Amino acid sequence: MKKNLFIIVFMLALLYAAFSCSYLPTEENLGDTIAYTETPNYIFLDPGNGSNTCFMFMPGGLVDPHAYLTLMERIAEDSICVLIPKFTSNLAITGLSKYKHLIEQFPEIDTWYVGGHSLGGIAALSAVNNDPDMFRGLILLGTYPSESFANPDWSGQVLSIYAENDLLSTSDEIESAQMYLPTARFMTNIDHIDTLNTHTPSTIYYLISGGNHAQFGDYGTQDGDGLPEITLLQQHEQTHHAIMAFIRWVENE
Amino acid sequence: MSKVFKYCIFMTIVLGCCTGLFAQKFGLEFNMPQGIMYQNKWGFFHDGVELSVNYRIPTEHVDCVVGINMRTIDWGSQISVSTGLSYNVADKTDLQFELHNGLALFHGKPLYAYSIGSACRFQVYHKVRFHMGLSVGARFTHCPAYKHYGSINRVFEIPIGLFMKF
Repeated sequence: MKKNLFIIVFMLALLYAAFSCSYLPTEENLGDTIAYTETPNYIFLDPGNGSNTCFMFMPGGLVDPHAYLTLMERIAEDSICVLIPKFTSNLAITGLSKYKHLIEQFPEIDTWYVGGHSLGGIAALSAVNNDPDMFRGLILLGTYPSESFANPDWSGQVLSIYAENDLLSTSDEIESAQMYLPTARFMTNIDHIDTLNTHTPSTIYYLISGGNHAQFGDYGTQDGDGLPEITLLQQHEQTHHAIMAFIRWVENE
Repeated sequence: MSKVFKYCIFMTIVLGCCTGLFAQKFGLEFNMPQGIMYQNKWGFFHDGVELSVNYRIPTEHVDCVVGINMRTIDWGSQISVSTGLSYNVADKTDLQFELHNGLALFHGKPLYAYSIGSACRFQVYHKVRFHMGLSVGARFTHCPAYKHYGSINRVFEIPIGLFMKF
């Protein structure tokens, strides 16, 4: 009996080791210039200008949250606070209601955007479905909703940024899930977003040519992903530019 | 991954030797570590869950305990092998001191992590071949190399758990 139990436990340990490994950030890209506050529950980037607008960004599944600091620092530099929740085992689905607790800790913030990469995007969709009035916009990076997270009637605006060489959330998968989000509008030039009517809920789809899944963060290569044809820096620049264009467009409502 | 696999093999040999050489008790423990301090700051936080399996090797005055621990922690998931000494301090009450050596699980680059701590175990249910009880302790965990990635790499916790002995 003991021997069988021992074998079961050993197999459990092997499975745990195999399926719970997280992706570490690329060490050399974590510069000392990034100023952030970290607690066991979140990482907070404060632009230091008393901004009352915050972007809550849910990390991808099994990705260390620090892997998004290089991208999120750019957003903080544009006077938007960034809050990155930390989840058990680096899996956002283990804390789908955590956003409420975090929002309560920042009463000075009056405008919230929520978003996420990959599995983190699903957590962001869940937050919007649970509290549709809490968020002004939803920003998805390399992810898409399934039917169970559908919210086509949401009154907020959605930005979906996806990458051409992303083989984990392919362009076809993202575009074919458009019925689960507000009215789709495909943009090849994000600078033209100002031409859209802000009073009609929309999902802005923006494709990054040559980008891949892992380069939305900064954690090297990911199993099953495509090869990028642009650099990490280029993908971050385009992602950052699209996010800021979207937020400014929504703020001008 | 290969390092993790080798580590698991090592732990298997350690525990296998123990089971083959001694008559001992087999235990299963489920812990909910509650964090009370990170780096040098006080703060209450839930620090994941832990599943431990251990073997108890009785001697005249003290029991030696070895085990495998799987847990989640601030920086992700962690697997470790534990060694410890358990003293019977009162009727149905044991005091255990333990050292964990393990790996924080990261793709391609698992990071060394260790814990030192103690726990008090209270037996609340007793049958001839099955014991069950509650435990509470104090533990310090440190993942030294994680300082290159995040600003929290050491935590102090109060593990509260449920244990079973077979």
